Amino acid sequence: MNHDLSLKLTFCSATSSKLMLASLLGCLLVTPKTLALELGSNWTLNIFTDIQLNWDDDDHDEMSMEDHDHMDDDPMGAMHMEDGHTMHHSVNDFELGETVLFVQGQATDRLSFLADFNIQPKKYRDDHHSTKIFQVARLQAKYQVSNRHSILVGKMHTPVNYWNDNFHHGTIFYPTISRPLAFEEFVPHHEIAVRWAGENFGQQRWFYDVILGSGQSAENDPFTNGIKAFALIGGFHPSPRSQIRLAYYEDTILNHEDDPNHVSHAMDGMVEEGLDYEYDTYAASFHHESDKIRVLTEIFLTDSKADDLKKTWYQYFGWKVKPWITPYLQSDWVSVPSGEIHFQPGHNRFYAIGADFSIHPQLSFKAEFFTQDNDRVDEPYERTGLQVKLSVVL
Amino acid sequence: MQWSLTKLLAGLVIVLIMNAPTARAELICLGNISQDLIGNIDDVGQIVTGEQTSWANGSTIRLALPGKSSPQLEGISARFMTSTGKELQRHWLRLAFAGQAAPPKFFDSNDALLNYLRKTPGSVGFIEADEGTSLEGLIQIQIQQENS
Repeated sequence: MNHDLSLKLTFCSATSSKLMLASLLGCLLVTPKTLALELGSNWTLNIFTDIQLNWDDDDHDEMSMEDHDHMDDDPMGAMHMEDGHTMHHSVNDFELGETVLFVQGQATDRLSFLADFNIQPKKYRDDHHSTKIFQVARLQAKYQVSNRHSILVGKMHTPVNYWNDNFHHGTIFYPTISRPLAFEEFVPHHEIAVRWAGENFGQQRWFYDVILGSGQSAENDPFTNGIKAFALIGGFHPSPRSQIRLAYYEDTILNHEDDPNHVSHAMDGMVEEGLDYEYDTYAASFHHESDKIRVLTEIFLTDSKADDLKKTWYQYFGWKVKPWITPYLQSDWVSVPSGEIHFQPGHNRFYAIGADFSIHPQLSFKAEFFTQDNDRVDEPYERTGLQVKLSVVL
Repeated sequence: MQWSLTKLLAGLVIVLIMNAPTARAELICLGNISQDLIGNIDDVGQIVTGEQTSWANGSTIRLALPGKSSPQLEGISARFMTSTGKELQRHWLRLAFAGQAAPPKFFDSNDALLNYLRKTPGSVGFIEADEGTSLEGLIQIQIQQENS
């Protein structure tokens, strides 16, 4: 990275940090008055934002912000950040979350649009290789073919698990402070795709999705390599407040060694240059929410011809002692077998006990004590700490 | 003696007036839809919870609810979701953010809600109506006694 570009990025980060802090304060001031800003009779705008504070006893990865900004200079520097979740907490005491501009509109009785733009200083982003402060997370059109079937086109959240389909960028909806660890490496967050969806079949409201996508390598270029990704999702509601879903997703990372999204967990000698990486994922989700308890299970398995099965399991259990106070327990672990040539082998285990204080529909404050044991980095570590997050939506 | 009897009778009259039956507001569901679409509704509670988001012909259901801090919304939330009004609002924020449904509109008065329903084809709303409430131009949809 040249010096001028570095200076520009630093300036942009500082400016956008101030803008986001201002928007957060603005949200706090006006949020009691409205559920969404109305842009005409059929269009609405919501602004989501959050801040997070972390304290932990681990300092082995301490580095200056300058070092942090320059990590992109080192192609293998990203290797140290294969677990962005971890690095965030070690490096920053203060984290500014994404500010999400969410626009939704109804063009006709059957045609609707949805756009989800997010802004975040580079140094706080999980995908540190990105130099973009502004990103388009979703941009999709939905046509309701009948009361049970719809077709979606555009950039969307891949509905491979409950989390990604329901609250990917909306931290206020997260049951815990952090996303499952699987999101850092294994879950295909977004897809430019055509999605055919069906729902509400039978008493248990069965649903399915079929997705033909551009694949992760295409990034924001629709079908530049043709159809590279395929997903099939199905599920049902065993009770009105419960959902079980199973998902299959396959994709090919083209010329894996040079793919900027996957340099972050590339390993020495893992694949030859120019080789494509084919992989499959299998996911299972269970969500239940009543007036007393909330349970979320996310299991994510990743497989490929070249190596063994990678397993992740996120488990959440919350007990609503009051409608606005939910103490919870969280466990989250990643297991990558030895001999793996794509991802760093080892284990990453994260456990937390916390509470969600949702004192207003548009405001959530979470606090949790956690402990983490991670040997999937060059210098394995154990740490315990406290983190808090304030999320607001205007 | 006569003075005491007068006071007793006056007291009785006051008690009778206080206990006289009054016009009681009742929660009703109203829609700006054609009659044939009503048969598509198994349970209007599923519209409140966001389980049903489109009519049989595929057009979008536009939901109108009483004001966010109104006791009527608390009653609707408790009846159909066994939750509070705040939880219902959070639930709908999540549905809207996930792209699963168009967010409901909230109205602080019955008149404003009824005006919205009359102007918006495909809309459905809940109000506490009494005998004096005009339902002109709208279809009343039966609410099941218990939320399934």
